[in-house]
Amino acid sequence: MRWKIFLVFLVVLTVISVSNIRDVWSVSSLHIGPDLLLIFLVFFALNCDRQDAIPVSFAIGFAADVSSVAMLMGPYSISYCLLGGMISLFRKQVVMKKFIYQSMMIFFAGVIGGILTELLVSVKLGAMCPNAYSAVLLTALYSALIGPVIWKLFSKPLNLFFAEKPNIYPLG
Amino acid sequence: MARRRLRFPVGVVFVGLILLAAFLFIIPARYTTRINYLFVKITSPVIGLLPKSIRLHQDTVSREAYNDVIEAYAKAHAQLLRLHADNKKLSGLRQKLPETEGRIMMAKVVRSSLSGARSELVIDKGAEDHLRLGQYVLCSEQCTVIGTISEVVERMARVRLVTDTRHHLPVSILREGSHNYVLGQLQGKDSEIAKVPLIWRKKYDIQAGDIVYASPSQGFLGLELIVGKISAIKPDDGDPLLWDISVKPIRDFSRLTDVAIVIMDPDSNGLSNR
Repeated sequence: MRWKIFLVFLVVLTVISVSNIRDVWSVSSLHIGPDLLLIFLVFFALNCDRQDAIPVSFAIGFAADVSSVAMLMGPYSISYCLLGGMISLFRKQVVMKKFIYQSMMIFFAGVIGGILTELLVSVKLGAMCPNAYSAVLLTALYSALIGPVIWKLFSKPLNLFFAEKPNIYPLG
Repeated sequence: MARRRLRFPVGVVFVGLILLAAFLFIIPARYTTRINYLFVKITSPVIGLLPKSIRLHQDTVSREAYNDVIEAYAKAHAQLLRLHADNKKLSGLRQKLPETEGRIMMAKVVRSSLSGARSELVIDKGAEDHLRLGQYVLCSEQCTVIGTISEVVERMARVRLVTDTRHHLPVSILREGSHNYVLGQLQGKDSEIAKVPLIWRKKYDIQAGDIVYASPSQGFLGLELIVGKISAIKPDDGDPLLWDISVKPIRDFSRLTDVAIVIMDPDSNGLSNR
């Protein structure tokens, strides 16, 4: 894993995800858009070896916490670290060559991670947003639809992150 | 000598990072939000370079509508030139507002978050500028209430908008030409709509287009100010005896760049001599 390139990429990704650029493709009055950090969390968890996948997932979770609307530290770090660990644990058992499987992986990661994060936020704040779960579900769905396309489109630049050629699709 | 790379077992790394994340989670939010505000401060110049809102499908209008707007703009511009050219934003806002004993403070929006069920702004004024929790925040152009201060740090503050699902605001509904107020609580629904629940259909005659005002609040707001208009009204699906009232704010929050904060008690806020 090339950490310097990854950290620069993560900063850029975080800035993009909090900017109004997401309004271009957001839908409904809830402003539902794809979660770029989630899409790349799943990507790195699938493509890195476990030694790297866990710190990468934590770093992405930390970036999500820093830029989150709730302005709380911890919920995303915990849930993304757990998710990244789980995905990297099972990645060799699941073949990820087809778009549909990649989409399903992003969707389930989005739902599980989103619900866990919302629960942690509600524990800390003592209140939960009424639309939180529908927002989580729709964001996961949107990310699942667009995620594999992003992976495919940027497969060549994404190769730069890895010192060795990754053995999992879409880069393999 | 060859450099050896230190590698911990995967399990140790995993447990260590989870414990670190849990530690961040346990620390009181008043300490950790500094990191969030630092991020906002660092990235706001970069984010400011990006277009504020680029929803092309909503921003495109017909040539006729465009011409109407241009004509209206030309008239408004001519009118503006006739006004005092050196009037700053603050005094302009003050002129638009009815008489009130409070003071108005202008602030810039450094970040707007209108995603999911949360609708919030981060502004560039904070506790050092005498902002306090619960103070009313107005749109600087139309003098309408857009939300209240929900969190304050030294040089920044968070504004919870009226459409945020956690936001409650005492309001009154009034039809033009009528003198009978209907009192209620405005509650955020999503990033564009708020609701006024628990209004009896039999007792109150309310129609789409009626104006919703923020009610005066001791120590926070001395007069009634517009929040929005009723955009839709129908019998409540859950309880047909009640109205289901949707309120649309006057201003599109995604385009806000400046806001004004009402400071009702200038003496206790250290602003009496300003």
